[in-house]
Amino acid sequence: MMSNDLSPDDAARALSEVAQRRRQVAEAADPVPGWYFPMYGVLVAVFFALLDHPTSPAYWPATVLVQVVGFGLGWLARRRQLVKPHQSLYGVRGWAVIAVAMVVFFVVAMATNELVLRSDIQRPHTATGVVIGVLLAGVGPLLRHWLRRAFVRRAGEAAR
Amino acid sequence: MSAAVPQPDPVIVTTTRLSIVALLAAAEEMEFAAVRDSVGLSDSALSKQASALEAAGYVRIRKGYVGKRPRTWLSLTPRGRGAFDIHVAALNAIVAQAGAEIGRGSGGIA
Repeated sequence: MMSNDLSPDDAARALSEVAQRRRQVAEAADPVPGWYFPMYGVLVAVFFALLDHPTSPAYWPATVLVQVVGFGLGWLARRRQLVKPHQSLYGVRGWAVIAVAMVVFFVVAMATNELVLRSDIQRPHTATGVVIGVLLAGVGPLLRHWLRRAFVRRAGEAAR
Repeated sequence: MSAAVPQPDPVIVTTTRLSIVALLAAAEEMEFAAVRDSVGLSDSALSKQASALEAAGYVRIRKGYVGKRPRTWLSLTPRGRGAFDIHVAALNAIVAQAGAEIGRGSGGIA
């Protein structure tokens, strides 16, 4: 088919095809794999537990290792995604979900740390780390779910 | 002026290539099997189309591994993304022009 042969019906069909493919990607796209947040939660718990042993000779090597593994996991998660969503799929709603989640996470983490430090718990950082780790493992999948919904909604908006 | 009107891109005007490029336009990168299953092509048919799009400079093909299994990822190049945007603009222009002509026609009858 030559490009100048396109009738309005052909063009409308092609546009509908484009919208359908965009919806397909939105439904299949995953911002992060399912294992990412629970794994990151474990790493955060380990990182905070290390803070309770600052004089241990293993403190710095272990801290560096946790950071490197954390960044490595992020890189690996991205490399292995089968369908990586394009930035345009996030839209205002998607970025807002991420921003709100980050703020809520930061506030809860700070508040937990403050409460635990004021209490008489023996290993306060370990306790904070466990709370934050559980929070990450629990809220992470929810964030993932909300983002996927935002993708589908965004794809629908673009089709209209 | 006609020069300002976007024209459909001859490389992606066929339905199969448009489907592939439209999928890749919504993704930063997509694994070969995911594209194949979404578009409903055979491995060889997708491979052929992907190679043609790569030769046109529209698609980038990256090979890698997940565990020990070899995988291939497809993504649009900036050139391919630009061509797709112009193509979609051209399609919208054709539909809009037809709509305007119908509007003028019905106005005349009334």
